[in-house]
Amino acid sequence: MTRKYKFFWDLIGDVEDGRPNLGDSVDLETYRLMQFTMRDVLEERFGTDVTDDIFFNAGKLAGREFFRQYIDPVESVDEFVSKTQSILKNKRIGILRLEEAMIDKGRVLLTIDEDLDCSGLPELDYETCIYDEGFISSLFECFTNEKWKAEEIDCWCTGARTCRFLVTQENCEAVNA
Amino acid sequence: MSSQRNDNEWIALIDTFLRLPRIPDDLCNDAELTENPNFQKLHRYINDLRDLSAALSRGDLQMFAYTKGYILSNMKALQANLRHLTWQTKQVAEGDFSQRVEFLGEFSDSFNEMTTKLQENNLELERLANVDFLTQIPNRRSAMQFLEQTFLLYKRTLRVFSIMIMDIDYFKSVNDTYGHDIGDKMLKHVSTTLRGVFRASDMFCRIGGEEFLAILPETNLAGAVCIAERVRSIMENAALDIGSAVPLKQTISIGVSNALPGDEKYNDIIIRSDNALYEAKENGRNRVYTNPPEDVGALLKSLSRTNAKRRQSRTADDSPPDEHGGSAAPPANIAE
Ligand SMILES: [Zn+2]
Repeated sequence: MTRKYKFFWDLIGDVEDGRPNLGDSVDLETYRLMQFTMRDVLEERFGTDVTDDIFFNAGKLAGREFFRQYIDPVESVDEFVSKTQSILKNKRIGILRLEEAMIDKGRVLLTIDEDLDCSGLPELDYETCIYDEGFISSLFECFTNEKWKAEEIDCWCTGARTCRFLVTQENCEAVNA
Repeated sequence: MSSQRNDNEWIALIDTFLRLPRIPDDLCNDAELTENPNFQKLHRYINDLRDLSAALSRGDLQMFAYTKGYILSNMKALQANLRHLTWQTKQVAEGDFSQRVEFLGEFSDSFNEMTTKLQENNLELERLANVDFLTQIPNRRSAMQFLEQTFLLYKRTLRVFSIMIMDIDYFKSVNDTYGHDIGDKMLKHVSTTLRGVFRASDMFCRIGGEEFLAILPETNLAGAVCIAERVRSIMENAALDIGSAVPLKQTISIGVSNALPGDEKYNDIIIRSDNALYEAKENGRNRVYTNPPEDVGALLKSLSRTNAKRRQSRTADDSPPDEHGGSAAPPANIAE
């Protein structure tokens, strides 16, 4: 397939140059409007499962690019954590906190407060941060060069005041034991 | 079969469920309850609330509640925060004092105050561990760390460096004659007098008793001899006011050595410097000796000739003076 939309960072453009008056931020409602309408149309066309898969993989792609752009290079787990925490906070994506970080054992439990995608959403009976799941999986994959999967186990949408993710390394004996 | 409950009885029942630590035995097999799916859902919720709140109250942070909902989620948020706090505390224990809490109200302030104080104390302890208490210049420990680093760099890059060991002459007699207070004053006097002689990139420290060590990166043996001679001559003229008619003057002897390609450990350089110092003492004190042995007087004479030439050409091109030994006083009566 010839690609028209393959992502590369320069596509984001020179925001400073392009928006001298409006700057680099946009109203969060608008961001959610775009994301949730796109999700609506995708679901209508392709069904829920495919839509979730698309969101997960888009999140993964974003996580990978984000890691390259803002987090790499990092030497230690501590540096990876603190750098990720501060960049997510500075970019106002969310407040990352670790509950346990057994990266060497293939298991990490983390929360994201004030999450970009879901904080303040009405109560639904499903976890909604699938894009985040992909994004977080990717950050861990890029850092460790192993396969990781993030699963949202509590979400604002299900009444939690914070989104909680269990991130596990796939095929890690320590986790499966 | 159980009887059908009216509204008030249902409310009373739920009230009981919320208050008690476990379900009363007689209700466990009550068909009206076990067969009502709505009640079962509520019952699961209350059970989770009960278990999670009990776990939280005893500080057990491992219980995992899968039931959703606002009240339970607030507890889960508290649990998540406490777990994060536990993680942060471990980080602090590992020496990461950058951890700050901003999600637990008053407790956050105390935690943050604690980490700030720990950080300050830690820095102070680190400083104390590396500084000689009496003279407030670096001690033997930090000198050896610096020397090791400099030596490793030398082995990798062959960037020259030298060291000098300085020993106050007849120090014992100062103590014996004037007492230990004056002895201490003399040690402080030497360190404050000599501090300014060295570059910021040098290491000048007290390594014990009346012995001082200077490590001079990027300095060859001739350059080091030049500085040593300056040190010797400064001390020869520096007087310590001890309240008597005649101020106290105490000379020092110096052994200089440089890193050599054959050196296997930094101690090799120290041994040579020590041997040179021994020679300086043996040959009358207030002297600079080197190891490998060089004719120090001749070395200084040739250095001062080179420097004079350099100074001439410098006035021409206005370049800044050489910091180390460039303007050293010409050799005096040393090592004749
Ligand atoms: Zn969420």
